[in-house]
Amino acid sequence: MTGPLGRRRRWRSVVAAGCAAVLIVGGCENTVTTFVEDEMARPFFVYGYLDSGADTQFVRVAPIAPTLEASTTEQLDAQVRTTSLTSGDVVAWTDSLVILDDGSAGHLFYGLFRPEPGASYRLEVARSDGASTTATTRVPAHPEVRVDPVRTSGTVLIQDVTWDGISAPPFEALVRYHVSRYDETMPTLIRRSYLNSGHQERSSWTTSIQLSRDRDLVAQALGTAASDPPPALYRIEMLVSFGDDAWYRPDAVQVVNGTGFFGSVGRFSVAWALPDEVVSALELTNRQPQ
Amino acid sequence: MGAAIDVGVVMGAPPLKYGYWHAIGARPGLSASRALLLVCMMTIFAPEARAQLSTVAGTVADTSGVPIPGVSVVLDDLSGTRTGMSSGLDGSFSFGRLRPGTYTLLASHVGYVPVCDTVRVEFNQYHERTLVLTPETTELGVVTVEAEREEAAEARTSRYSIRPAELARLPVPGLSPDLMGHLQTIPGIMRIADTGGQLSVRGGTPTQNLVLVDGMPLYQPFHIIGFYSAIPADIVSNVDVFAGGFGARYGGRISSVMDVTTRNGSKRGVAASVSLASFLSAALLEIPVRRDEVSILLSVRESVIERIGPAVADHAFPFRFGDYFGKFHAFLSQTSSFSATAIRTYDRGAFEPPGGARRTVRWRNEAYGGRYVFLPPSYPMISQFAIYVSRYDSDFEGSAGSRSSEVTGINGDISFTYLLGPNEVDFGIFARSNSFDYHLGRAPGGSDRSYVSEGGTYLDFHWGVSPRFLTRSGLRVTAFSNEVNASIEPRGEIQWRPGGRSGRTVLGAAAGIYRQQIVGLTALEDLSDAFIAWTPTRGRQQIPRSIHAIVSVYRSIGPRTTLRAEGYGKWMTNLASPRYDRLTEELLRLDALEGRARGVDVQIRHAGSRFYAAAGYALSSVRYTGFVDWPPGAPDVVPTEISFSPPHHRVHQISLSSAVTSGPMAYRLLWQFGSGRPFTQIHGFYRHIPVDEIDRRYHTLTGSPAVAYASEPFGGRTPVYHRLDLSADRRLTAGATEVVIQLGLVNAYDRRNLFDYDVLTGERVDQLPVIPYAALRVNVR
Repeated sequence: MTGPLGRRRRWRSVVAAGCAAVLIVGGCENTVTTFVEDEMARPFFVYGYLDSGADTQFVRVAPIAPTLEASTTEQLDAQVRTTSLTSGDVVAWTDSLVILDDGSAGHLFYGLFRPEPGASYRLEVARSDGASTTATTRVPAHPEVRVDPVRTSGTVLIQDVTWDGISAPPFEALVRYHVSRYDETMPTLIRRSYLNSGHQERSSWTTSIQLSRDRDLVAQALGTAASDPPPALYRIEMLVSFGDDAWYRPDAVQVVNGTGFFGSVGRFSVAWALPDEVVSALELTNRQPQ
Repeated sequence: MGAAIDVGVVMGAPPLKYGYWHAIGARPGLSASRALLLVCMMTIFAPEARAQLSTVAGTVADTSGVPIPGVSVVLDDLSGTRTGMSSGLDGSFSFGRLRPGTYTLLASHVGYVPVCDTVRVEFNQYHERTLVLTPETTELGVVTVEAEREEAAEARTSRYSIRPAELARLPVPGLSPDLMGHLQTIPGIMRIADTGGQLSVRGGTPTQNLVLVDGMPLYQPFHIIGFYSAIPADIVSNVDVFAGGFGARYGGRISSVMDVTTRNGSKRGVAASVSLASFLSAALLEIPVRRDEVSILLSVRESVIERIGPAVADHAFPFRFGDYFGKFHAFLSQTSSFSATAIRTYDRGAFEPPGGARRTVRWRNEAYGGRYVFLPPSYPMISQFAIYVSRYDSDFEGSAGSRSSEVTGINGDISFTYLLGPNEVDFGIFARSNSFDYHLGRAPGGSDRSYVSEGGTYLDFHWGVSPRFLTRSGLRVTAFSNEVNASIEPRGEIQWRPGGRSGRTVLGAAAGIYRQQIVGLTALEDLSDAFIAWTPTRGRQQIPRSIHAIVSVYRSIGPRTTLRAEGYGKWMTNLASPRYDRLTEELLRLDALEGRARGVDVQIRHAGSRFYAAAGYALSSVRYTGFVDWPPGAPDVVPTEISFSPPHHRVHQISLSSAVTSGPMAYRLLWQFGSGRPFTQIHGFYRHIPVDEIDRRYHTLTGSPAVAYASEPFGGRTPVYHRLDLSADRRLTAGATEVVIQLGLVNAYDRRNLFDYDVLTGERVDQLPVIPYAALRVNVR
């Protein structure tokens, strides 16, 4: 169709089509979808760890919510349980309300069991609609311990203790001396931290116990004067607490479909007897079990 | 670098002989090796020879092809130098001794609609034009005819050559057309938002674009209101936009080049114009200091939207911006000229979501420089010597902290262009020194004062192997001062014209390696980060690099209608991505990313005498990859390799523009559409307990607010963007005075387009609402 009339009709069609397109597109959704639309995704925040040195385990649980409102005292829609991936044992945890530092309420779940060193556990926090957050951890296994013979450095007596099979320095490292004044029979516990005095070498951690210096510490703690008879030594032991990899490498935290932290701690100790000549050199009285 | 060839003809000077170069032996098909040897010899010995000037000639005819004698034909070189003649009995006309540049050819005759044509003249060319006059009916007005054949001949892969007349075809608020208006219609070039002043080209970040004004780089050349650049159309002679694959004469950026050549002021008479509009008011003044020899061009623009906007749109517009431009130009002799250019811009803006915290951003550009152009009388050569200073400073202030950045660059360029028949050699050397002073935070490298320098050379060889086959190959070599390895960047382009130079189809391909030593930092995690900090690439860091590979098709598909399609791939490495602390606004660190962009750009354009329409479509895929701390802002995270679409990417872009001229009336329309931009969604909020000691404090620790981000970075999409702008002008002429009245609408159907969105607070900042505007312009010549 040509001519002014045809041209006018063609123009009208173009304009009508343009208006229609504008109206169609103009009706497009214009809200921003802030939240991931999968309601089953990432329901919970969890924080806690399994402690092989305790018979009650704790984990904080909080919902990941659209708003950051103060927590309520209402019961949380969450069932928590752990499964030992080694033995298959399942433990149901119990919710408890705690008052947080700011006065609001928080949900602290507890489970009554003592984790086995070297065993793996899966924590599952499930909502009633089926959405769940899971996390797994492996409790540190018993490390190999090597107690070296006492060595001397000048007049100082030193003993090296090496913990094999750990990839990071421990959280806690204590040497405990069970000692008493000469005239007492009940031993007293004197602790000395060796947390910052060890060194990590590949998968072993070694600390050098300063026996001579610790003897002075013991004497001072017992209130023994130089003229008094020497204190008695009953027992010497070392305690260490190691975390699993999750404590040191955030990428090792295995919280699935949620966020937070779930790790484990192994607590281990070793005791040994000092030879008579060392006890004498330390000017102690030897009451160690023979 | 890419500056105006603004040596013009001094009227009345003795003519130079045309065609002398052929007489001394240069000829088509000169071998590349001989050409290079010749160039080297000429550079070393610089003997005297004769320059090559061009001719524009042709015929004036009516619509039936009958020549029209006695038609007034005027040639204007856009700086006010005007030459006129009447067509001969056979309708012929001819203008000789023309220097390279852009000319306007105007033919007018009683009873016919005047015809205007633009001719871009290079060295040693003969341009033939047929000007067809249409009998006057009831409508009067100037009709612009596009030289299709010339356009095809000039078509190059990824290059968009923009002439002043084209800049006026889009509905830009106010009667001060602007380069920005046209840029946003080029497929592959994405204006990130109406506000913020940032462009992304084919997946690159906004700071990877090199913007030159008469060879001087502007670090942030776009105003905070996205309609405007620092370059008003009134001062433009020509703009070459390279969306990729640019030649060796350009360097220092890895994405695109926008090379603006400004025009000179009128050398014949004082000209002035003033425009008053509700967005931006402007004034332009052209003063011929010495007739036909020396001129001054001055331009001033100041925003008024912040004062008028609330009254007309019931909306606060906390934006203020402006630009000042001045150019002095003098013909020193028939073969040399000198120009001095100064440009200054400023922008200030505040972004304040309802009920949210106010963030303000401010930046300023300054550039000053001089250029001496010399055409040896006996050489077909253009030599240029330029020195200029560019400066940029910006600062950002949030509710919790602030950042600032300042960069000053001193640059010197010497370039030579040799014309060897159908071949051409561009050769240049350059040196620059940049000083930086930035304060982005306490993180390592977050604050510094430093200097870096670079120097280098480039060679571009355009070889017309045959009328059907053309190659452009180049090499750019740059050495750096700050322990960064030297950069060697090969570039290349080929063109095949099945129909020869007058054919309708051009097939092309281009590729190149590009490096960028100074980097502009914009936060990828923000939807719209208007703050840019410029920093050097340090010795230990790798220089950002990109590789471009492009294929193109250009075809004239009908009367005044062209189709252009390009497919491209771009691979980017060592991209610096800043990560800011959301609470303190301080720089946490710089992440190194790699990027890949690929896509297709298509443009159909009809440039009729009264009707102009263009449609552009861009389809792209952009992915960035790198080791970054993910999720952002989350505690206890370690760098993880993530892959994502950056927030400046839209998969689909559509642009429709049209202009209809009917007598003194002109109607313009621009509709743009962009698919949603990526952003990172969240699952929700919680209170985070730090992984710390094996004690039981966590039983009652409240924890700090934290966000559970989606596992997929930038997996969400903002709503689509679309907007319609309309304008209508009426032109009234009385003697030497012309008055133009404009009415228009920005965002005609009041689409709420998203500018920024804070996923943590839900605070939303929208782009411009519907804004009616009126403008008045008075031109006096």
